[in-house]
Amino acid sequence: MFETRLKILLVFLLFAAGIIVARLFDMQVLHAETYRQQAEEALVLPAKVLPAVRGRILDRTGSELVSDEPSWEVRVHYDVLSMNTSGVRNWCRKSPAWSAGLNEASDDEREAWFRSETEAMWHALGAFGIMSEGELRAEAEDICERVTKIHAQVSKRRGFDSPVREERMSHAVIDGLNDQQQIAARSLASNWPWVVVEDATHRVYHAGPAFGHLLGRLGPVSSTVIDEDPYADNPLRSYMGNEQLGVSGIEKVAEDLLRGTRGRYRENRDGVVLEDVAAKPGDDVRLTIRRDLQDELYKLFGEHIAKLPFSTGGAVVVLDVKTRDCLALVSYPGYDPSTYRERYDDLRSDTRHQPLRFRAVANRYVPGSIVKPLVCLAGLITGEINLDTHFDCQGALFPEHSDRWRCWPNQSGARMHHGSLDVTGGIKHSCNIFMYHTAQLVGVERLTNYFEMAGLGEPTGTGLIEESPGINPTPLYLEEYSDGAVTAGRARLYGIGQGEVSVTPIQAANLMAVYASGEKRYVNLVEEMRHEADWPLPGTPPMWAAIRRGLYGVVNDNDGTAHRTAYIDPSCGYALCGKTGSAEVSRSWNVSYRIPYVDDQDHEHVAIIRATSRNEAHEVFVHKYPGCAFAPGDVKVAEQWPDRLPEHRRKHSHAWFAGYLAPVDGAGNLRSDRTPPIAFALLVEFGGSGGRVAAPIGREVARKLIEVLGPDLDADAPPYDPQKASDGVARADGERTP
Amino acid sequence: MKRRFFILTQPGVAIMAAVMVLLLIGIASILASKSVQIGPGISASSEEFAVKQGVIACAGVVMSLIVMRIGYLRIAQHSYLIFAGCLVLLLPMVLAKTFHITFGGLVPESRGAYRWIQLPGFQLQPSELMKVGYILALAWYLRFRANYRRFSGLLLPFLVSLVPMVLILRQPDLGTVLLFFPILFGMLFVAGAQPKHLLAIIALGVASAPLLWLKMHDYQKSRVVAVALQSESLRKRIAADPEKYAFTGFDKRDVMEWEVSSGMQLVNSKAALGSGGMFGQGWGKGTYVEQHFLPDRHNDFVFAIVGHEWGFFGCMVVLACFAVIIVAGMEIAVETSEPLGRLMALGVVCLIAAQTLINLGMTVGLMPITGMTLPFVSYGGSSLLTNFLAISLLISVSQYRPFMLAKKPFEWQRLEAEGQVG
Repeated sequence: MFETRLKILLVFLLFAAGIIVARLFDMQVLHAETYRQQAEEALVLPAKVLPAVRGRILDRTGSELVSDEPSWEVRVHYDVLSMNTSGVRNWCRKSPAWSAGLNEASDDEREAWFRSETEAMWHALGAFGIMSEGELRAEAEDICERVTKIHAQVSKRRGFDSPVREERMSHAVIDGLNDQQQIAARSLASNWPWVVVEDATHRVYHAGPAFGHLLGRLGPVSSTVIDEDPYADNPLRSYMGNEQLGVSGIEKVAEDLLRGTRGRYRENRDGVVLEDVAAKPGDDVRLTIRRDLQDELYKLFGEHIAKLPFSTGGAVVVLDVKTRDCLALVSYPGYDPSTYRERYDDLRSDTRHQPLRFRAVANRYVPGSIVKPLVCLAGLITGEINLDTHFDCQGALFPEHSDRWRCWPNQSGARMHHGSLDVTGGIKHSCNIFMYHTAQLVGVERLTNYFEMAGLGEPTGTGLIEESPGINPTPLYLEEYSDGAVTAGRARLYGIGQGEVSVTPIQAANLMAVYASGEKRYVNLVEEMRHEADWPLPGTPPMWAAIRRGLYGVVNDNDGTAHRTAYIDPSCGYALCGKTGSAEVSRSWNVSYRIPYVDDQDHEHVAIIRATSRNEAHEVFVHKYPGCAFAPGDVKVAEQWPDRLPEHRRKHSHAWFAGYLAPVDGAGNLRSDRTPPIAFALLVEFGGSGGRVAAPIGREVARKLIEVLGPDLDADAPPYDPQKASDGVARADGERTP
Repeated sequence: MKRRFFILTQPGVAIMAAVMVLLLIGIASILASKSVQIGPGISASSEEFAVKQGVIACAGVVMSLIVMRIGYLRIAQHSYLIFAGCLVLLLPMVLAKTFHITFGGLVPESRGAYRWIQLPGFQLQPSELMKVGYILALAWYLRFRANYRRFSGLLLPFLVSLVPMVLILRQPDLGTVLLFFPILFGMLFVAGAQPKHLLAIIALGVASAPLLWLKMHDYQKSRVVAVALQSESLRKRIAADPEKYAFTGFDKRDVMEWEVSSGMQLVNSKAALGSGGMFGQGWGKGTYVEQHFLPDRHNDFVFAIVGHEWGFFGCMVVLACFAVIIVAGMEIAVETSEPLGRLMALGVVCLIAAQTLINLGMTVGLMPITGMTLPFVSYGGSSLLTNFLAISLLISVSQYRPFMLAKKPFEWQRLEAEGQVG
């Protein structure tokens, strides 16, 4: 029996051994190739990421505005930035070379040593002189918060908690090191294996404050970006948490073009190179902007605004009428992009001038009289008025109520009136009464329809995230945001460009281009991203001619509203046509409120909101920053400006001047065979009357345009040289007036 | 007379020869791993380890000769004393684990476990010695008895077995504990315990498995889970619908990160083995095993190196060596008529066979990973010496053939037929 049982045992063992042999046979003979591949893959070293150079941004003439220049950055491993338990343990166990003395040390001793070493590292990096120790630690905290957020979001998407690649990477804490600094940094970094100095690039700005808003900024990749990354499937193009991307201005608009494709280098542990894909630099982006024009107009604006007692800033936009290329997009005050980071706190706390606002596209203002030609056009096209229609202006719409629905000369005690006017006269004199009649005949619905056809209430197509669509108060809009009443009174208000309707300076310039050409088009800002579509507005040539004659008359007829202040000698071949506007400022423009709040990442911020009242500030805040918490008690008036109103005026107003340069013949008459080449609009915040304040600047702008773009107002003229320009203009004049 | 194999005519020599082959393969494999990780982030040259293994092997041979000279019978007379001594040696580890003290470095901690006593020059692993002490004590206890043929008689052997098992489990060292069962069952089975009793106990064990599962550490659970998760289709199914498979206890993370977490060692060991192919990459040619993918590749996972460098062929040679040891060991048990020798020989066979099967099973991915060495091949002083001790006792049995008038022991069927036992 003993032997029998031994045999049973032996059979059992043989059976078990048989299973193992079968398994070995399966693995080593049948599936050897699979496992061989697996082993080979495991031998591949982690891929090295080769960063791509970001594309340059050039102006229309090819002059460099921003470029990526090689620099170096100091990167610190995420474990050290976050000092999480597992990370600390990891480093305590790593790298025998530098912890040679600690081979026998206990975990506690290792950890104490590691912590003192990281402290020493922060201290040394702080002493390096580019950023203080405190700033570096704050930076580290920011990075950690971002990565934590990415971690949370990725975990949510995957459905379980798991580490993300950002947690295994080094993150830049100091960037933009030059050659000398990087050598010093390298010797510093050699003390600690978790600090590395790596090749990088940084943005170098070749343009001044006129370009601050326009060029925009780079910012760190956030969890939202990663979540919505359209290139998530492309390992060379997907966004990584330690990268930067364009967050505003052109950097954001042309992000896809500017951003290159990373390279990748992989080799295995035997030194065989498996993959060596060079980084593909981003494309250069060429703007439609003329740098010389932009700089000159910024300078001009600075000079004029400095002279105005209340003005807080302004904007001027110049468009090529035919192509709608934006030749200048100036927002004043601006900021120098190269010193933005250092001056950020100052820039942000200037609540009066708000230099960070991109006024030319982001602020919307009541348009005032500059929509009047459009109102007339709507009346003509709808047939409610015709070219022979005359309305009698007696200073007020209802003579028995002379203090309501007044015309503009009938104010401040001066009881003046225009008498009987046709369309051209109505525009030339900017007669409110004419517009009241026309607008109430057309009605809100049709009027706003024509506003829409001219591009009001929608972005102009620049793609800038800063851009506001303005407000076109269609019945639908009124239904949603107002009491919804579509009344004749509203139509009258819109007829003179008041009420809910509001436009951005770039929309105003585009509106002028519509007047000049009869076509709506989107504005082009980047050569590589052009819009080609156009939408001709209806209207017969005589109707357009009447409108344009009105705009011509505003400046060029002796009784035009801007003749005194904006007239330029047509001997240069062009007549300035345009419209002034005074946009009454509701009280909301005077007061800004400071609201300290905490966002969902527990960052503390301060929002500056302009509002008529504390309650409205709350409402605006809740609309603008949904989900952020604030204590109503902390809301304080940040700034009230202008604090005191001049006695003779009830309200402050922003001053508009918008116009175009129309070709004229030798006698100074409009030429109907040529479309005006250039349109522009300018706005002066708290400037006062459009006719008195904005029109003279408009004249200056027109002169500058001729000076910079040459006598043909050619957008592609050779760059302007102030030295030669004075001769050039003189010669051009000389040819025309012998 | 029938012609008999060398293994059967000269079992002792055959075993020694097989052990030598295994030792050489082991040392060659340790050398092939180029460098050895001896601590967190600290590695040493494998040559040092190969030399150390060689020295210990020599010491083992000398020790074996001494043991054979003394003879197993004289040693076995002190079986209970040896067993008690081993139990005492286990106590420091239990105290260290319970009170988190190292007795001034005498009982060092490693990955949360206390398994060694640090002596000048070498580390003593009492749980290894316990294996031999246990075989001796069990054989000594069972040699003249018959009561284990009844269910109640099985109680005492099981209870006594529990004592060292609990102490070792406390270290914790689940792998070594699990080794006691095959020895116990193997010895009881061939000694003639009723199969139905043994099956009943196994059934009881299986029934209490869920209880054991609850008491297991997370890392132990994940090792068990990892075996099931080798199936890619299962992983995909679970990842697609973790809710539906919630009863398995695997969550989506187990599945998605299997290859870099719980399944890492399995994946690496299988890749090393499988990529060896039929005849292997050649000695010292496999970059894969030189890298630190496989922790413990010089001891627990040494078979992966064998498979990588010498392929299927090399694996078969190793298996053949073990087959020689086991068959020869059984032959020794059959040949002797001395009851203690019979049981002891069988115990040693069970010990070697169980260690081999568990180690190979985990290396090829059929069993959960436990800290089990491959006898004579894996690096490790205590384990090597223990195995030499066990083998020398086995050979000693073959050398000592007492002339006995009594009938061969454990032939219960015949005895029952003759009505000598009730």
